[in-house]
Amino acid sequence: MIDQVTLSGGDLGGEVVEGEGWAEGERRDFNGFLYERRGDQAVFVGMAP
Amino acid sequence: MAQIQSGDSSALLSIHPTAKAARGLLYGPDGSLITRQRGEAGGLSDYGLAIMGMNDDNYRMQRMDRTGGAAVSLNNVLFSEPFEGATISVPNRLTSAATTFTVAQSASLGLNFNSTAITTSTSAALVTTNRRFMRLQRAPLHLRARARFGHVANTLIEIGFGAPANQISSPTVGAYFQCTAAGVVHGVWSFNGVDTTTTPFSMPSGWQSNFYVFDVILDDDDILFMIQDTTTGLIVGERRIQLPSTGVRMWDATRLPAFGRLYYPAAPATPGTLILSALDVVLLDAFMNKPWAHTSAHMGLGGEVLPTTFAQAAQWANSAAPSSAALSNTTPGYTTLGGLWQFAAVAGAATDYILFGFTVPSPYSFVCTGVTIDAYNTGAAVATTPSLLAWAVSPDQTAASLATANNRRVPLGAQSFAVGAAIGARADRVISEDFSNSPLVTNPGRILGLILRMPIGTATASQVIAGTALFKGYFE
Repeated sequence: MIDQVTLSGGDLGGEVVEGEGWAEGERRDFNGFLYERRGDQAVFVGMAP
Repeated sequence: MAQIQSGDSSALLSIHPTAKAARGLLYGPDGSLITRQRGEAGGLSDYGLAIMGMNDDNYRMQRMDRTGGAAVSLNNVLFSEPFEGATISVPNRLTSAATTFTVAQSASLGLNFNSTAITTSTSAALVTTNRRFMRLQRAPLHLRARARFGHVANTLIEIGFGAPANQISSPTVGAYFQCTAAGVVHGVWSFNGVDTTTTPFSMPSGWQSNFYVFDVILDDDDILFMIQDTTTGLIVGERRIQLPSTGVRMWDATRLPAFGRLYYPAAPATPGTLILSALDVVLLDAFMNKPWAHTSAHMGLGGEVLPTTFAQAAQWANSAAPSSAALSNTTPGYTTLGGLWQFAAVAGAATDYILFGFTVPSPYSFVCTGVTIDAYNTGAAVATTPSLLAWAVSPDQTAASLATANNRRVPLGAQSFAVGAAIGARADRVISEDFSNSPLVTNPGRILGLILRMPIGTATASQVIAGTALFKGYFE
């Protein structure tokens, strides 16, 4: 991976995903789980509406 | 001439008239019967029989105290060094100092004081227990070492009680075995720098290549030195030094460590060495009534240090914050035995996170007698919802993942930060659970987990929840 990001919290916590192009503070949806990038981690912020 | 005849008479030897029975009674030199009747009055000069027993194929007299009570040799374990694995228990249980020699440990050989087999003149190595063993009247100190005195000419070897000032000096106070540079093995009693030695032991042929058990038993007013050949179980030799009536006491110290020392006063032609494969010290007769947890802590098996590498068990780097854990159900945020923790605030969920997953180093078990967790808020004030932290401990996990079947969660309780809790605010309570009456045991190679669940929370930007986790307990 070019830019490793580790998910923290929620059901996907601990998974490492590609973070290239994922801006700081931006949220991404992983199968309904929303994660917000904070440095080299992305924290669980809730379920997608 | 004395005759054997039936019935009591004046004959020197009498046989009881019962059919098919020949019986005798024991009399003391004063003519009094030694066997006694219950309730019979005793006298100050009564004769009796000594009691013997068997230890490793050697007859030993039973020991008594001054009152005549049997000395029961309660082995109060003060120290036990197994020299297990390749890492010397420095600075946990031992302190090592060496000049030129390389002291190294291996699982197959124990502690080798000259692991590189050098012959350099004035090489020296000293290994000392950090614990000092206290002298109590009526409570003998018993040191037992299994060791090989790999003596060649110009090799001086010592093991026993004592605190040498350095690796080239013998103790000025102590009780220890010494193998002189000339190869004489004897016991030494040192008091205020003055040595008294036993007569030399007669060592078996080839003794320099073999391991023997060396016992030093320090009593109130004497020291017993014994060497045992475990091939036969027999005692190679036994020497005793009695405290003379002019002597002040056995030691001019209340407490001394145990030690081993190897020294070349001059260069030997071939390498000599000292190899220790076991070193134990017990206190006999006294009833110390210590819990095993205390005994384990004294032996360097407390939960603050890892029993195989002797590194700090908890996560607490000097003057540095830990990295923020990624909260996961399957991968531990940290693999230490508790310590500092922190994580970026996340939204509430019913997911269990394994914040700590500590693998107990084999062959030890960890006996957890309590858990304490403190928490504080950092980075940003708590916003939108409270931050609720529910905790559990999970001993003896077969795998780190909390999804593993058969994990056994033990609830610890919950902590909460109210909305608006400022940076620096502590959680509303400290989690502190006592398991000392029913410890949680994690077996060798298994995982002790600390589980966090955040059912209510908001992933407030910059908010980091931090704290400490303490696993009380000991390794066994």
